[in-house]
Amino acid sequence: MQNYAWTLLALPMLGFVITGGLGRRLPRTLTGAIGSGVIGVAFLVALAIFLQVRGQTGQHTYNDLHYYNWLDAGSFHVGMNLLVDPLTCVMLLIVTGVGFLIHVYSIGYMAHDANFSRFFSYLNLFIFSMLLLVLADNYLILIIGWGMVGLSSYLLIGFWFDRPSAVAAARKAFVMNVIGDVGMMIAGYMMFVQFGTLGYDGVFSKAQSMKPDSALLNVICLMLLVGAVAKSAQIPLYTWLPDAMEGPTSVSALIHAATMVTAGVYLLARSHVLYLLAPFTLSLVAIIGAVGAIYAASIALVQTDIKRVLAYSTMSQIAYMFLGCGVGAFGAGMFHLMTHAFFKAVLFLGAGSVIHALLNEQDLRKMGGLRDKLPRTYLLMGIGCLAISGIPPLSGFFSKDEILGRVLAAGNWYIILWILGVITAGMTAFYMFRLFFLTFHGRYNGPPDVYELAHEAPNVMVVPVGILGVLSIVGGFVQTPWGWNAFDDFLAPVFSRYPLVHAAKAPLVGNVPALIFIVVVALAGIYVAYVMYGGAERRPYRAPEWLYNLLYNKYYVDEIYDAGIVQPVRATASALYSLVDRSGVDAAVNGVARLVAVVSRGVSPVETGYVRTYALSIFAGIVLVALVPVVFGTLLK
Amino acid sequence: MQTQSYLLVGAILFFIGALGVLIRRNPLVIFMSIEMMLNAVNLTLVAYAKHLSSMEGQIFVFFVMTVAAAEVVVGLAIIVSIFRTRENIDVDLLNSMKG
Amino acid sequence: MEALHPALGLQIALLSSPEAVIFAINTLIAIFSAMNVLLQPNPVHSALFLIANFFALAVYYLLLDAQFLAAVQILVYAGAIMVLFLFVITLLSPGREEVAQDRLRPLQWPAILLALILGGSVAATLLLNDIQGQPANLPQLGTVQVVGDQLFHNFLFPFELTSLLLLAAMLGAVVLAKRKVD
Repeated sequence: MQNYAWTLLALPMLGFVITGGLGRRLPRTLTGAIGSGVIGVAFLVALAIFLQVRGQTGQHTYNDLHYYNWLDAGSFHVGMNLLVDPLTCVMLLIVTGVGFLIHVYSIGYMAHDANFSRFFSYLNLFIFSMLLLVLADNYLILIIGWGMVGLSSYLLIGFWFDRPSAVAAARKAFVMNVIGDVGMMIAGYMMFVQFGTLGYDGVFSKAQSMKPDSALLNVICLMLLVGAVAKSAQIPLYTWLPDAMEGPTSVSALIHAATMVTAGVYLLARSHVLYLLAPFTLSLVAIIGAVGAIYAASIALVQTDIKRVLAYSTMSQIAYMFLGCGVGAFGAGMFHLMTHAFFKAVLFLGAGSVIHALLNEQDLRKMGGLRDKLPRTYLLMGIGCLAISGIPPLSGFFSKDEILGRVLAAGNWYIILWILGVITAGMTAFYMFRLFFLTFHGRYNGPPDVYELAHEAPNVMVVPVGILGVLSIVGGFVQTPWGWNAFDDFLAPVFSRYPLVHAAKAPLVGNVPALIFIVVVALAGIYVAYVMYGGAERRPYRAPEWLYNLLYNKYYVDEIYDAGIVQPVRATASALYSLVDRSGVDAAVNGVARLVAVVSRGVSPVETGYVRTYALSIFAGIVLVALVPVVFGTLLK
Repeated sequence: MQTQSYLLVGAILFFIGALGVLIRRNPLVIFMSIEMMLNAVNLTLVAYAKHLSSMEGQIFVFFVMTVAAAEVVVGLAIIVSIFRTRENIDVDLLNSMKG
Repeated sequence: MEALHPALGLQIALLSSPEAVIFAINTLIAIFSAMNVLLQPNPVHSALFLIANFFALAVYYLLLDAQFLAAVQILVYAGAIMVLFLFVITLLSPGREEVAQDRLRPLQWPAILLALILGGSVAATLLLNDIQGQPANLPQLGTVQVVGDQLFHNFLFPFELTSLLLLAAMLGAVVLAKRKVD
């Protein structure tokens, strides 16, 4: 494995270089083929690695591959090492697999774009960064991958950089991500000070010997949480995600649904040792998860842009993953990560097909009745909506219910979080099917000529979505409440590596009444949506004006952040500029220049131009010099 | 005569020459004053040669005279080329390097 | 007599031998002519007084047993260099005097003051201190044979170099003084 694992990084980097450097001069099909092909090959490599790890047992699954010694500074050593264990394998397959399908989709979606090759080079750069993050065996390389993923996100959100809204969104995303990066770095410094190393094995082994729930460990976990929250768009660093929909839909699907935003969950799962030893912060994770889920779902209820609805639903589903990790069910969180990657990609890519067909219309109020025009997309979107709503036997049911089951099993006050989660499930079903019915059922509400021209997307776009659709249906059967624990068993060595720490992995026999209750709630949500939006006439529930405005304007959080943080920072910067920079530094520098000018103008009369004055001054100097020995030597004798 | 007397005369001649350089405006007179300074130094050298019974002083003077001759040649050529076209012969007119 | 204070010794020596008398008269001529080089408004007059000064110096050299140098002084300085000076004076400004108002008139006083300071201090140094040793009495010190011997044995290299120097000076003068033909 040592011999070929590095190709996982080399392949996307190669794709980045070729499509970036030569892409303009190559025909589109070739560029698209290379860009997707490298990821396809990477997927095969990931598959091979996965099969190899599956064949390993116990702690043999922990493959720490050393490549070379990167940093050697006194007692601080960081190696360029790749860690391949079951957790890594799950992420590798998701990133390369879903990534490959989305690359292929993009060949069709971006076919008419002038910057086709640049798009693929950025996508490959992103895959490289994400794989670097996932394959790291120490926090330093992870942070590097983390930062590069943020960069790729910025480049891709602002891909159409002639649009001011896209540029602003990209900047917003990057700035919020940097806040997370700072948290990660602080955590890194603290880890180094406390443990003397940043490698996973070193940190986790040494952490076990600390006293439980120590303040230091809680702070480290909190700082890591800041990073996770920023990257995964959870409260309070989430406002960038809806704006990030400015980017092309493939980008939304890949980065802001399936992979990048799940990096936070991966971080939590990887650092499970630290979090299990810091229960205070862990319960904070659970609270952020539960509150975030219902919060995002409430906003999604009233949004009118198809991609915004999906963005808030992403935030909500990731909140579920945080909730799962927060009760110690890291495996459940990863399971939901996987199924979410499948069905969310289906939903985004399907939405992309709809937008593409309607010539870039994204407003739900102008859609409707597209069922006959886009039959295949209709089917696939339907599958996606059922999956996300948690309707059995689709994948979303198994993962979402495992999480909620474990929350319930945690007992005590966690039941409140369980209630929030169940309510969110109902809301999720409702707003997803609201989206579905508004798009495909009823009467078309847009310009008639657009409707005439609307047609199904080409195969290159539909087939990848189809594959993802199939996965959304069957992907759940790896982990079921009635005892098929393939997923948990696969991940077991990861979570039992450090003996003093026990992740909650007791098989969930399944609280059947609770399960049925959740499904009923979801079905109820769908029914309500059908009643309101399913028929030819739309009969939406008229909510009170203030409530509607509150939700539609996303609780005015963007405005609050702007007034409370952005404007003061801008004002401070402006004040510093005029006070320190202009009056201080510039004045000093200019003052020096002016001083030189003034002095030189003052001294300049010495150059009279008359030879005789020069001769006189020379002579005066000679007199002075000659007087010294005369006076000191002779006259003072 | 005592060597000191010669040295004294040499000193006086040197300073008269220096004064000439500083006070006169005619470049040729300035140049002549410079020659006078050189001669004063020659006198000092020869006085010491006799005092120390050494030929080196006189040989030095020999070379000084040679070099002075060459210097006069070149210096006068320069003065000629500068003042050839001018009305007045006055070093104060050469003040274009002012400021 | 040498045990006396030098200044006093000077005055007594002044009157004690024919050599001293010649020295005294010569000194008066030398200083008088030097002052006039400075003070004469007409440059031709200044040049003539300088020639007189050179003659006085030649006498000094004779008194100091530097016979060769005395001859060379007259030949080179008075005979060649001053002739050159006079040529140039007549070329540039026959008989013209410095006419314009001296803008730097105030500078004369500092110049005189400085010269007096320095001259005074050198003179004071000389008068207040003894020079060790006696001047030698070797009339054949500065003869042609001795000078020639030194030049062609110990100082051969500088001697040859000066010929190059003179060549360079000649070329330089021709180039500099040439009228620019355009």
